[in-house]
Amino acid sequence: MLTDPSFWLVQGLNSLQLAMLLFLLSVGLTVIFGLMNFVNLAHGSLYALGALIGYSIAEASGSVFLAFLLAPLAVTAVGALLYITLIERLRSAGPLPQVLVTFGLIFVLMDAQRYLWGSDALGVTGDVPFSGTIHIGSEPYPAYRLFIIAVGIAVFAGLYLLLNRTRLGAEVRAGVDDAETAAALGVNVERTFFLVFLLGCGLAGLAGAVAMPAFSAEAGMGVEILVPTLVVVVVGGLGSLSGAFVGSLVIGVTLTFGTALFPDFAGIAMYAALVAVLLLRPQGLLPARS
Amino acid sequence: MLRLEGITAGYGETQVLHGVSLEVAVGEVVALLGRNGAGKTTTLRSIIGLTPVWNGSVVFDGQDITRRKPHTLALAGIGYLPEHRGVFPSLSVHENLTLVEGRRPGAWTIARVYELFPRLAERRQNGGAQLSGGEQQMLAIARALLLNPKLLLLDEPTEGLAPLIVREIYARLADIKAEGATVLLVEQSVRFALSLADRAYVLGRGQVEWQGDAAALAGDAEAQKTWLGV
Ligand SMILES: Nc1ncnc2c1ncn2[C@@H]1O[C@H](COP(=O)(O)OP(=O)(O)OP(=O)(O)O)[C@@H](O)[C@H]1O
Ligand SMILES: [Mg+2]
Repeated sequence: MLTDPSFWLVQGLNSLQLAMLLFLLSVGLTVIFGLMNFVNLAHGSLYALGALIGYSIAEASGSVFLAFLLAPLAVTAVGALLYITLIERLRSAGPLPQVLVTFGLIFVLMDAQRYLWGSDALGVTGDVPFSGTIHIGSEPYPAYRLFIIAVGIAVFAGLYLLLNRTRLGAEVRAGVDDAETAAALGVNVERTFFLVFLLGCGLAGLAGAVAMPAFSAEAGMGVEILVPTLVVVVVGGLGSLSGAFVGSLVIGVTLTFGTALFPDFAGIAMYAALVAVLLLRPQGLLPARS
Repeated sequence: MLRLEGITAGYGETQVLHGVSLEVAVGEVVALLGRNGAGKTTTLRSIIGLTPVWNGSVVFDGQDITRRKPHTLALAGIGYLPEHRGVFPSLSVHENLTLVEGRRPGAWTIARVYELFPRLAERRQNGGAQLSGGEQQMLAIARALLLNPKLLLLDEPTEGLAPLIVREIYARLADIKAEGATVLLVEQSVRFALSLADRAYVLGRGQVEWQGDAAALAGDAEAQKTWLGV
């Protein structure tokens, strides 16, 4: 197996595909954290919500593409609701209330999802785009996974331009560098934070919707992915777009090859990577603030 | 333009300001002096809303602005130069300026601050983290000017700079004063501050201990020794 180049190629692509989902999830979290020292543990639940809403839209309309478009918007709307009712109040409450409340929110959202969609894994029955297979050496490989990789790279490129070429992006970078000074220069950091929060929710929803045709949708899927997402944030370095991207690659590779090569220790591999990075670079690989 | 009426403030449980009152009239440069830890920075932070005022009031341009948010005060016309400059390292020199330009349009534009500080124009594509201390200071002053402020709060514009750069910064501040700017200036280097200021306040342990004409303090070595320890 190990001498077969197609094994490495297939696992490499699987790593990339997982990395791109982790990137879509972690990028919102990390920038929100960098901007406001706020961590939303329920972020993974928004991923599950994106998958479930995407499933319902795809089933009702027969169009998975419509689901890709509308599910992120719906999740953004839920995010706005959460922001207005809870998160805005938590902003100045300090880390412990934030962790407790958003941790509790995980269970509230999971039960709400079970109530609405049940506990079964739901797979779309209609047509899925890119449902064919390509061949890597002798191995058939689902083309849809390449599509997930493309979505992740496109989002990274889009966010890169947003962050580096627009005024909103400059406000975000300034806010991450030094929120007080940004505010004293007339930047409404609170509003910037709100917009970044919404964008993060939308990307979590997009990740869920895009993952759904490949991995089906299930109420618990948000909890499963939360821990790797948080590890990506720490490994990549807080507050940084490229940090989230690189951290996702590291953890995507670690998890995928860990499972393929050492199935018994797959869970430990990720923590080993985390510890290794923390020992060598406690601030993460590419933090926004050095 | 600005009036503080007995403001108290602090960090957590620790009180730092014990009733500070001072006034800055339109077109005036007022120095706020005092030893390390006297509360000068805290006073400026209280004005711009970064450190909450516990009691007393801040009146700016005829309006009570106590407890208003920093960004609304910036847009109302208070330009702030933070202690340690606060240049954004992730932004280029030019981005540090475009971030602010246009929020309060007026006579100061990016083109004009580049004229005032040609060094910044040369380094416009450099990252904020690559600037020398003097260049960072120029950038931070330029940024505050781009708000076209009615009032400038400057916290140690020459902190940690070589004497030659200090002189250059003060020459530029004199230009800005000549245009009629209203300034509250916090300084460690008493001599430079008093050369620019019309009046001065000396803070000690969170209270005003001395106030009067800058010229009077500049000419009174005894008073300087008592209040400032220089
Ligand atoms: N963020 C903070 N948290 C707690 N205490 C603080 C904080 N900032 C300042 N202090 C304390 O408040 C007091 C006044 O500090 P402040 O920075 O206002 O003095 P200053 O006159 O500006 O001093 P310096 O000349 O050294 O800049 C000091 O005793 C300082 O230790
Ligand atoms: Mg100070």
